Formats: sequence, C-alpha cells, structure tokens
Amino acid sequence: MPSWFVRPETVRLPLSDGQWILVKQRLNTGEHRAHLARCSVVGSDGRRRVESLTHGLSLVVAYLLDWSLPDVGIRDASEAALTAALDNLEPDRFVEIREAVAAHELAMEAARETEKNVTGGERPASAISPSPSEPAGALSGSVN
Amino acid sequence: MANTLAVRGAAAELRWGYAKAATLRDWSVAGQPGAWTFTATIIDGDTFRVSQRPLQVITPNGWTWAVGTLQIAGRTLTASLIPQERPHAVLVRPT
Repeated sequence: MPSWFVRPETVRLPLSDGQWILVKQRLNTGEHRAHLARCSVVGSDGRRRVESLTHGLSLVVAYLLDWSLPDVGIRDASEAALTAALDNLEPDRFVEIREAVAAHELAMEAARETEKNVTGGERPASAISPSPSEPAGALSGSVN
Repeated sequence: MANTLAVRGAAAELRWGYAKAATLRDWSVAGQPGAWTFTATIIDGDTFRVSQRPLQVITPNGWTWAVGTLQIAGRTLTASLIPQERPHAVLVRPT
C-alpha cells in the first residue's frame, strides 16, 4: 500500500534560456492549506474565496525551492524573501514560472489519480450520508 | 587517541528531504573515520519529520551529513553519521 504521507521530494522543471526551477513534487496538506490561506479572503457572507490576483504568486511560493537564476539566490529563503524575489522578476518571466508550476501541479494531480486507480485507493462508500445542511464547496472563485 | 577529529558549530538543521525537521544549535561532530557522532541541542523540531528517514544534517556553510542512527534525550540530539560530506556548491572562477 502506498504511503498516505507526502514525501518531501523535488522535481527540476526546465525554463527558457536553459534556466530551471526546483519545485516540490507535491504539496502536503499543511503546504496546501498555507497556499489557500495566502490566496483567499473571507467575504462578507462568511465564505472564503480564492483571489485570482494572488493565486498564481501563492502557488509559486508554495512549490518553488530553488532556481538557476544567478542574480538572486532563493534556496532556504523565507516566504517574504521569496515573494520579494518573484516580485522583482520581469512580468513575462514570472508568468513563465507560474505556468510551469501550474502545469506541474496538474501533472502531479493526474499522476495521483492514476496511482489511486491502479492501487485501488478509492474511498469506501460512506456509511452515513452527509447532512443536508453541510455547506457544499467551501471555496469558490476563479483563479489565474 | 590517534586519528581523531572534532568540529563544532553554532547552527545547523536536521532535514527530511527539503523539509526542515529540526533547528539545531551548538553542534559538534567527533570521532574517527567510519565512526562519526553528531551532537546538538534541539531548538525546535517537527516530531513527525524527525521520525522519518532518510535525514540529513546541514550546516550554514553547506556541510551535509547523512544521518544513520539517531537518539533524542530531552533537548539533546545524538546521531551517527554516514560518511557523505559534500558542500552545496563550490564556485571556481578563472582569475
């Protein structure tokens, strides 16, 4: 049976000009929650909504561990220092990094689904139906 | 005792992959080739990550040691090291 825990493994993603970024293979629950907290706000109706403006930055901050860019080192950088480094990129370079990370996340989600199907990791049917009053979809909103 | 060595430092981290498992202070490595023992004071740690393997000790100057066995008693961490010392990076520029 595969582990239920996320191992802290890394993947190197190629960028243009021969550059690369080193990212987490997968986010664990805590990292995912921190990502959602960074890029969402609680509206006046009490529901949490993802902010499209900050979602991309938060996603990159969640995954990025290191890069080959020589001007600024980010290995072991704090979240604030990493955000500052990303905010100083040329906008189109940031978009390239964001799209690489987003594509990586989609690929990992697809791989995870395949892994669960192959190993029979589907959740068993619940013996108790959820309450009709349980809110559906704690998060809503579009993301960039 | 012949052929022994001791190295000390102020700061280090215990890591599981890229994830920090513990912040360490006042560390030392002592012993002889094939039998190095790392000792440090734990400042803070993640119990789950410390229980995982493989673990590495990393110092701010880039020294990295793979951890073999590990014991924690109170705030004192003691580990045997697997010989695998390497710096993160060595930059050599032509002069």
